[in-house]
Amino acid sequence: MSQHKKLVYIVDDDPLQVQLMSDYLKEKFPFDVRGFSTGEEAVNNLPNHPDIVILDYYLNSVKADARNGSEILQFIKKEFPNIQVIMVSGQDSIEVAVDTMRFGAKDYIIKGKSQLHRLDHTIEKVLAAERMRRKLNYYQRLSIVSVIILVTIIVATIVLSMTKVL
Amino acid sequence: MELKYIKLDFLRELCNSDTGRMLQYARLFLQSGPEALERISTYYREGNFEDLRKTVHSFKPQLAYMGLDDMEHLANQIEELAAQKESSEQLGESIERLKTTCQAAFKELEAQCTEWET
Repeated sequence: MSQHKKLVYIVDDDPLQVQLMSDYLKEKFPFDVRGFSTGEEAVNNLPNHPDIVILDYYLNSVKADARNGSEILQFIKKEFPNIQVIMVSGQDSIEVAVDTMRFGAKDYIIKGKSQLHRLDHTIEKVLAAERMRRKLNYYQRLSIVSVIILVTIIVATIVLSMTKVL
Repeated sequence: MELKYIKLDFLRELCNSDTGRMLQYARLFLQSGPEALERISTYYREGNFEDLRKTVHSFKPQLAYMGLDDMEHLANQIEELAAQKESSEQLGESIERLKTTCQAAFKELEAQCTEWET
């Protein structure tokens, strides 16, 4: 199982939000955290393969022509489907939350005082799911190897028996 | 010092009363808060309700972190009014109240920062 330090991107046009979440995550988890103020900046850095992207829904409150969080989410899930995305927003809207989850986000978190605890919980879930996926892959590989060994033994046994008969 | 507008409970808990960290967050708020208020006023003057709504929306969490709970509620109202995309007396008054109270809160927080720094 890979033990590399996870890379997390925080994408938010509010510097206070970025700093707060970054400090909190670094305190709680052994993460490398990088902050970006626009989705475009984050997208340009996606080839570094972050494990988790925490994305603000409204990324265009400062720069009106910036792409919003939903567009960035769809781009990430299309081009880098293994990156886990958590959406954060000040908007308590069921429609937005449903759309966000439909586009592949792991969670939709409302910004505010309780957001950090919720983020904590979601990240734990994401990490647990990844551990499970890795375990599953390991056992799948193990079972394939077992089948190959079994088949080899059977074939070898048959060949040996036939050799004796002959 | 006694604070009238700002409530530091959330920051204090988050930072385990580390004033260095609290100062860092307060300074970030003092940097971006006045800019956000300025944009809110400009968008209102220009009748740009969509950008007004987005800016108020993004400003809300900062208000919550600094314990400006009443202003967070007021920001919610402004966001809803701006979503109607038309100027109204209520919207203008609410923005004015947000500005006045936040400016007082900025001054108060600035004084608190100075106290932490010394």
